[in-house]
Amino acid sequence: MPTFELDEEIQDMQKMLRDFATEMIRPAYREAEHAGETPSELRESIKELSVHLVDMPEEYGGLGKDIRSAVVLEEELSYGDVGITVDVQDTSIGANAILIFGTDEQKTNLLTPILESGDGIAACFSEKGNPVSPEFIETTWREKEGSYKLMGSKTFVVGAGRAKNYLVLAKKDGSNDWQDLRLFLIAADTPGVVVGDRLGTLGLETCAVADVALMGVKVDSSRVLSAESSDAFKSKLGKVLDYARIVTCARMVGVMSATSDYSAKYSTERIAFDLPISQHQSIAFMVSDNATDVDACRWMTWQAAHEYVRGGESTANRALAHVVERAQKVATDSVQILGGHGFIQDHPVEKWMRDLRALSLIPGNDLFPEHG
Amino acid sequence: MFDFTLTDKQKMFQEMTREFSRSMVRPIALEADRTGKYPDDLLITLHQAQAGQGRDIRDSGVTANTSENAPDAEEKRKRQTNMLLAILTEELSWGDPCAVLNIPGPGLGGPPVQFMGTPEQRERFFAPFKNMSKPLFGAYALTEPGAGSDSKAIRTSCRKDGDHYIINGTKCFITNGNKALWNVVFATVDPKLGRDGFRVFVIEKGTPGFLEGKVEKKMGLRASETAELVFEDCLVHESCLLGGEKHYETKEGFKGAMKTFDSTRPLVAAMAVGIARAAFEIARDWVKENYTLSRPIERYRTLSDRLSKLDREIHAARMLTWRACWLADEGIPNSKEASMCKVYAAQVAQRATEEAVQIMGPYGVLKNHFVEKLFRDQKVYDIFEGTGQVQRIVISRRIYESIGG
Ligand SMILES: Cc1cc2nc3c(=O)[nH]c(=O)nc-3n(C[C@H](O)[C@H](O)[C@H](O)COP(=O)(O)OP(=O)(O)OC[C@H]3O[C@@H](n4cnc5c(N)ncnc54)[C@H](O)[C@@H]3O)c2cc1C
Ligand SMILES: Cc1cc2nc3c(=O)[nH]c(=O)nc-3n(C[C@H](O)[C@H](O)[C@H](O)COP(=O)(O)OP(=O)(O)OC[C@H]3O[C@@H](n4cnc5c(N)ncnc54)[C@H](O)[C@@H]3O)c2cc1C
Repeated sequence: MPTFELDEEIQDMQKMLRDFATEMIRPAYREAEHAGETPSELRESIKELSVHLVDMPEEYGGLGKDIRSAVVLEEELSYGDVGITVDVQDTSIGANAILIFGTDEQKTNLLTPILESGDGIAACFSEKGNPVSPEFIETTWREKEGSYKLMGSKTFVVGAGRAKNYLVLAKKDGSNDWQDLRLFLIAADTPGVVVGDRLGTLGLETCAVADVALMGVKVDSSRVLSAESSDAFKSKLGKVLDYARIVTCARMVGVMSATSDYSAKYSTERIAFDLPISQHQSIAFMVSDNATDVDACRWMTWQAAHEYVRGGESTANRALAHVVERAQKVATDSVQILGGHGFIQDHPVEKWMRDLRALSLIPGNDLFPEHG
Repeated sequence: MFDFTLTDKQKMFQEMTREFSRSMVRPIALEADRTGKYPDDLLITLHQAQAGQGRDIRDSGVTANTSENAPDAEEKRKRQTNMLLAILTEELSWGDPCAVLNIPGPGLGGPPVQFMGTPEQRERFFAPFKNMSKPLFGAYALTEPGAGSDSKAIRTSCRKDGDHYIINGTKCFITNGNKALWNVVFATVDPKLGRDGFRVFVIEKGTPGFLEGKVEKKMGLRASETAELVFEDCLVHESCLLGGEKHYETKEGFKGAMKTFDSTRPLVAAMAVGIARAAFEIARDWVKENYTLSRPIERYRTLSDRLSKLDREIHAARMLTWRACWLADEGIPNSKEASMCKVYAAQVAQRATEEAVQIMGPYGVLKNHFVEKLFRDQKVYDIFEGTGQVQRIVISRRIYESIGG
C-alpha cells in the first residue's frame, strides 16, 4: 500500500536535523566556501549526528536502516548547506560499495573500523570525465603472489587529499572484461598515491576535488573487492552508482528546497511598486512552481530509493534526470526572485545555483536511456 | 526590400572586433575574473579602437558620446549606429562580457548627459574622455537598496541650499560607480511626488560628502566593478543639476533619462547573444573533439540535436535584437521590441550556458574552462537594465495598448 509516512525514529531525526541544519550549518556556508573546507568543530559535530551510519547494518556498527532513511536525512543536512554536506558525508558511497562487493570477512575487517572512526572514503571511479566502463578505464592492476600493484590516474575525485581512504576502480592490465575489474580500498598514506592540485569548480567549492595518481601502489589482497562474473560485477557496480545517484538526488532536493524557501520568504519582505513582490503574479507563480518542483523531485527520489531497496528495476536515472533538469530551473528562478540581490554574495541563492550545477555532474551524467 | 547582408563597412568592423576579441580579450578573461581587474593597457586599446571606429559609434548616444551636434535623423538612419553597435557588442561580449562593461567612457551615464545636459554641461562632463591615455569612466546611479525595478521609490534626497544642493542617500549595484570620474545620480525632492520629484545630478568623484561604499562580491561579471555609493550631506553645485532647474518643470526630464533604455536594452541583448554564442561554440567544438571517436554514435546524434536547438535560438535572439536596433536607427519607437530582445536573449544565454556545461560533463564546471565563467556571468542579463518580469510588463502593455485593451 503506497504511503509517504516516515518511521517515528526517522521523523524525530529529521526534525532534529532541520534545526541543526538551519542553526549550525547554514551560518557557516560562506566561510566554509571561502576556506574551501568545513570548519573542524562543525565537521566533528556533523559526524556525531551519525547520519552516515543510518543505512549501514548493525553488525558493522551501523543503525540498521536503509537508503530510504538516508535520503530523508541527507536532504535535511543539504538544506543547511550542500558544500558542507558533501564534504563531511564522505563515507557513504564508499562504505556502500564495500557493503555491496565485500565478502563477510572484508565487511568485518574493512567496513567496521571505517564506520567506527568515520574516516572518509573518496571514490576514484572516473577517468578524464569518461563514463565508468572498462574500455575507458586506463588504471590497471597486476597481481603477484597475492599482492596487487596499481598504475594509473583518476580525476574529479571528491575528497582527494582529505579522505583517509581511496576506493579505486581498475581493470586487469590488458583486459577489457568486466569480470577483471576490481575495486581497491587504499589508505591515503600508502606510498605511490599522489594527489594533484585542487581543481577549482563552479560550485561545491567547500569540497576538495582533484586528480589522484596511482604510481605503482601496492595493495594487499584483503583490500581488493571483486565479483564472481562479468554480469555480477556490472550489476553490483550499477548498484553502487545508483546509490550515489539517489543520494545525490536527495542532496539536490535539499538545496532546491533551501533556495525555494529562501526566495519565497524574501518575496514576502521585498517591496516593489508598493506591494510585497509576492503579490506580483509573476513572482507568485515562480514561488509556486519552485515548491511544486521540489515536491515532485523529492517524491521521485523517494520512489527511486524504494525501488533500490526492493531490488526492482532501477529508477535512479529517471529521478536524477528529472532532478537535474528541475534543479536548474528552481535555482535560477530563486536568483531571479531576488533580482540584483540574487546575483550578489550577500545572499546564498547565487551559491546554491552554482552548487546545483556542479552537483548535477557528480554521479556521471549518462542520463539517457539509449546509453550503455 | 528586407536584406540581412551587412555593408562592407559593417562587415569590416565586425571582423576587426571579432579578431580583437579573440586575440586580445578572451586570453585575459579568466585571469581578469580571478583578480577582478582588467589590464589598463587593454582598456586604453579598447577605448582607442572604439574611437578609431569613428563618429559612427561616438554619436550613437550610448558609448563615448562626446559630440555636441548630434547628427540629423537622415544621417543617423544611414549610419545605422545602433545596428553597428549591436554587431560589435556581440563580438566583444563573445570574448568576455566584462569587456563591454569596461569600455572606458561615460558608459550608461552618457545618454542622460547627452539628452538632458546643457551645452556647457556636455562640454564639461564629456571633455575628460578625450584624453585617451588613461581609462576613465562615467556611471549611472539609479538603483538603491530599497528601490530597483520600482525606480520611483528612490529615497536619495536633494535639498537646495543657496547655490548648492545637499544630497543624502545610498545607491547600490552601480557599474563602475566607485572608479568613475562622475556618476549620474538620481535623487528626489520629495519621495511622495514619484518621478515628478526626480532631480538628476552629475556628481564628481571627490565631491565632499560623496563616500565610496563597498564593492560587491558577485556570482559572475567579477571583472566588472559593482559598487555602492554613499552620500552624506554631499554638497553639489547647482551647475551639476542636469538641464538646470527649468528642465524639471516640464516633466520631460525623467522621460529623457528613461528613454536611454530603449537604445541600451538591445545592447544588453547583444551581449547576451555573444555569451550564448560563445558557450555554444565551445560546446560544439567539445562534442566534435570528444564524441566522434570515443562515444556511441547515437549519443553524438542526441548531442547534435541539442546543439542545433541552441543554434536556432541564438539566431532568433539575434534577429529580435537587430529588429529593435533597426527601429531605433529609423527613429521608430521600439520600446516593445527592445524589451522583447532583452528578455528573450537573456533566456537564450541561460539555456546555452546550462547546456554547454552539461554537455561538457565535469569539465564544464572547472574554473579553467571558459564556460564555467559564462555560466556565472549570464544570470544577471535577466536582471539588470530591467528584470525579465519588468520587460514582460512593458511588452504586454504595448500589446494591449495596440488592441485597445
Ligand atoms: C551586476 C549588476 C550591475 C548593475 N548596474 C547598475 C547600474 O550601473 N546602475 C543602476 O542604477 N543599477 C544597476 N544595477 C541594478 C539593477 O538594475 C537592479 O538590480 C534591477 O533593476 C532589479 O532591481 P532589484 O535588484 O532591486 O530587484 P527588485 O526590484 O527588488 O525585484 C525583485 C524581483 O521582483 C520582481 N518584480 C519587481 N516588480 C515587479 C512587478 N511589478 N511585477 C512582477 N515582478 C516584479 C523582479 O522582476 C525581481 O524578480 C545593477 C545590478 C547588477 C546585479
Ligand atoms: C564536482 C564533481 C565531482 C565528482 N566527483 C567524483 C568522484 O568523487 N569520484 C568519481 O569517480 N567521479 C567523480 N566525478 C565524475 C563523475 O562521476 C562522472 O564520471 C563524470 O561526470 C563523467 O560523466 P558521464 O559518465 O556522464 O560522462 P559522459 O558520458 O561523457 O557524459 C558527458 C555528456 O554526454 C551526455 N550524454 C551522456 N550520455 C548520453 C546519451 N546516451 N545520449 C546523449 N548524450 C549523452 C551528457 O549529457 C553529457 O552532456 C565528479 C564530477 C564532478 C563534476
